[in-house]
Amino acid sequence: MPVAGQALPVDLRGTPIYTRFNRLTNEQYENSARDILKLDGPTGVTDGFLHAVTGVTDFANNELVVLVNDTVWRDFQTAAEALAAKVTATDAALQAVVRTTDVETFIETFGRRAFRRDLTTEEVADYTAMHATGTAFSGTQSAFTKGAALVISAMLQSPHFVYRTEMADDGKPLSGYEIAAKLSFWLLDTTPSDELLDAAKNGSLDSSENVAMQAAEMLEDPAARAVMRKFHNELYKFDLYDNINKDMVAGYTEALNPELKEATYLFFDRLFTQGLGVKDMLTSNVAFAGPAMAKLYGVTVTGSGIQQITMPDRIGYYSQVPFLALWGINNDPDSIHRGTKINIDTLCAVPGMPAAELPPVPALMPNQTNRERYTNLTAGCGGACHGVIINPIGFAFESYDGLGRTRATDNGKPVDTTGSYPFAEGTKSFDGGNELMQIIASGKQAHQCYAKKVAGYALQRDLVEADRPMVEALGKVSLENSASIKDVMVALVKENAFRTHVGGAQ
Amino acid sequence: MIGSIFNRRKKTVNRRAFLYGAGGVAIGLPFLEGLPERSAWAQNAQPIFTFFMCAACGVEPKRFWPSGSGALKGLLAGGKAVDALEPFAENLLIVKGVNFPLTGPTGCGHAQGLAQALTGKSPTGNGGQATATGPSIDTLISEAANKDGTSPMTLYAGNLRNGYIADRLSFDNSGRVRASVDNPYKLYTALTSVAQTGGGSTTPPAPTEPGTPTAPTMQDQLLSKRKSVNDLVRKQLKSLMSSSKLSADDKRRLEEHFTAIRDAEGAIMGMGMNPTPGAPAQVAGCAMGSIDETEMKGLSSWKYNAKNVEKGGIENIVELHMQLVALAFACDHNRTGTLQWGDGTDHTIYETPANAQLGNWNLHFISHRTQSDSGVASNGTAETAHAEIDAIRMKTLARGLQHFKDRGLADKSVIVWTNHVAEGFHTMRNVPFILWGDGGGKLKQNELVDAAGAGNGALLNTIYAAVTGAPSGSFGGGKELAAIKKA
Repeated sequence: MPVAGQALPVDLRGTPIYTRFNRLTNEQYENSARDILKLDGPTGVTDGFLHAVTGVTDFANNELVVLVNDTVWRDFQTAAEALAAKVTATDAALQAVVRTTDVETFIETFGRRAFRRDLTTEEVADYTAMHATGTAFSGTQSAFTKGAALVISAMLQSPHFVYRTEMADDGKPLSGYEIAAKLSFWLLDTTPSDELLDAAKNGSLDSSENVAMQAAEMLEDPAARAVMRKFHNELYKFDLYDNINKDMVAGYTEALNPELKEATYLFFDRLFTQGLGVKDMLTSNVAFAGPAMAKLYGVTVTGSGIQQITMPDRIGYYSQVPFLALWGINNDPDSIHRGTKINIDTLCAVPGMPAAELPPVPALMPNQTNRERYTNLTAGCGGACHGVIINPIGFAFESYDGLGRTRATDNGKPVDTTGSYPFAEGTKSFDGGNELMQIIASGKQAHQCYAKKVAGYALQRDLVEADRPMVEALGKVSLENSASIKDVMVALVKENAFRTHVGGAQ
Repeated sequence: MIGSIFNRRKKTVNRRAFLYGAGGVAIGLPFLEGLPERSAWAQNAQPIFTFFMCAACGVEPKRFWPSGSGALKGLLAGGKAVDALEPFAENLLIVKGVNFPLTGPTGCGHAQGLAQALTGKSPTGNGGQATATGPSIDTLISEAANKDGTSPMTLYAGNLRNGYIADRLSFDNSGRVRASVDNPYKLYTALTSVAQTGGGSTTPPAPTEPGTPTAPTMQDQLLSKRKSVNDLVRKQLKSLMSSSKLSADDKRRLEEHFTAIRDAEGAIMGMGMNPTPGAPAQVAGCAMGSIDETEMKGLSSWKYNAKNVEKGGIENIVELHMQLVALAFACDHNRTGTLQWGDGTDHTIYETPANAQLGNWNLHFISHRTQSDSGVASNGTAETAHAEIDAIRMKTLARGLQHFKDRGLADKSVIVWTNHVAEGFHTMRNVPFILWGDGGGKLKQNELVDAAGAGNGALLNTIYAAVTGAPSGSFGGGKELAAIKKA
């Protein structure tokens, strides 16, 4: 429970299990199948895969929600059979996967791609026997191709394919192959390339500096941008923009929703690809808008597409129209949710449990401002949280209406955007969203919070108190150097949490 | 050599082997043709099927509940939403006065409501991350009634990408939400597709001379391939599980994987699908019947539509799910399942006369009586819109029940409709429960019952006992709700 004057630390109360077996996500399966089978485009086999449950963990790639049950197993089985059939439809088709007709060469070459390491002698023997079994089935293909079909199907169902494993002793470095897979699945959402596996084999990934260099190089791959789109969507929940519904508000139509969403994606794309970071997310006056959104900002754009604009008199993501429109009740600011989202998503400050059976938000009284309404509403049992950490941040954005337009008055009275908040560096006062964002950007908490989210996504697990030194170190990188998102990600791969298997009770 | 293996297997393989889980490249053999099998149903006790549906955002109580008490026949003509169920009155049991354990949610109660609707236990956590503190009834029934460990069907109608609360109804244990299937096409393919060849040719085997072993069919070959692969996967899993480095969680994870393979195989080798000569008449419903295969195939590229459109909208998806579940039950494909009917904060837009006056709010806003996911207000037009939506949902339920009725399932099933909150803004007292089917003669029929504040755990426990023959201590402390039991 927040206490006046006391900062809430970055919340690290997760329940990780530190699995050694991270099942590939559906996207990772799809991309890996494409790459190891040397296909030109998506296979589509994962379109009907059972999804991971969302909403109960920070990210949908979390170890707690990516599992194998009988439905998933049947998905894998069906997909493997379909993929094997596709690439062995003819003898020539198989040669595009591995150009050989030697059984052992095929098994070792394809197996290395599928398992992301060299096969053991026993595995080669097992799959050689599998190949022999496959040759006896019907089909117009050569015996070699028919055998290969069964081998491919079997390898795509193997636990060595469907799990990214970490078999190092607790606290000991992962193997080069394991590092290669961890990097590639995180940064590119796919299996390591042959070249990366070569680097792993020759020891090039055994030092943290080399791993960092490799990560930096991979972050320039276009696939990394797609990964970070997914990351930011899950972190800030851009899908909610699809749900905005304000039919009675002048200036809003349903057609605005996709524009709000894509403009947000483009903003975060820019941060990532242009080498920008947390500070820029909070303080940049750059945004994106199409014609309809531009009017809400009070600027004009030419053409019909979404374009980069300079926001007049406002800074950062939280002053942008999409966030403000999403968290607005009709045309009024939804101060509670604006404050709550910034606390949780950017400061990792988690308020206490809301009161049971929350009262309704009353209609505005004559001459009452939105701020006064919420202040009255939350003065009772919710005051401990609302008064200390939620409302002050939410009220800083009272100068933006429910559609994100600037306003100077509310119900005939001047808007009041002043407040104070117990930051980690002490309680600080501010007037308006711009001052608040400058304070947050210059403090350590937002940087640590972002670092926590990056690490949670990369490590595919919840973070706990034992991770705080790492979170603080990464936050320091982000804050002190005004570092980019990429810098934080590269710094993470040098951490033991990434390079070793962190196991057991921490 | 291979042919002789297949010939031996052919005696025991039922055609459900190919119908269950065989999606992908279907080769289009006609439904329910061609595969010999035994009928487990004919040999075993009559299974009782259960299907639990949980709709979103409560009801408008004044225009939902029937007036009066006692026999339903005659009560379902009072201008209430449930009037749509009148044709099913003789097999209906409407229960009012049921409370969830956590009657007053903390904060956003939608996930809390979902997490206790079928568990009968107070949830943990709040907001979008609230979760259950025990398994849901479909899990326990599945363990007791489904042969070979088959998981319950877990279905969804709504927007899985809603950004807040999606899957949150079926739990395989505390905190472990089961992911759901939103597109009926997936269940349809599981019920109708015949396996792909897995790399072999689709050319039928050449005819053989009389007296020579029959050549293996493509289906036989597929089964043989799957067995080879499964055996190797099991060997690899066992090897991994033998590592001393593994934590208890990791062992459990791999054991679940191991079990999943067994379950899938069990589903293949398990329950009956095809009536054999002399089988009881009740399995006559195991046929495609009214299912429009063109419509089902058209769903292969279906995407959620925020508007309740006639084709592909949420109510249409609900009905299609129900239609397929009825078939699945009639064919003993699975004996239990759930359907989450809307997201936690359901943003479906139902176009009704009152909602047109509002400007087409989404259901969640209507349930709050204001255009907000958090605020609450009083708004008569929104109340009317909610009542209109209730009527639409009851009509959907009626159409869905017709599929179960058509397949002769009234005396061998319990179909349950409830909601994750009671009414309007998150209250969890007097949550509606509508049951169809007598659960094998165990439950009252054609009655409106007042549970007088009993917990939903007791109601769930009564259903569990009716279906399995033994009460479960997991629900309501093992208590049953006598008011719904047939004397």
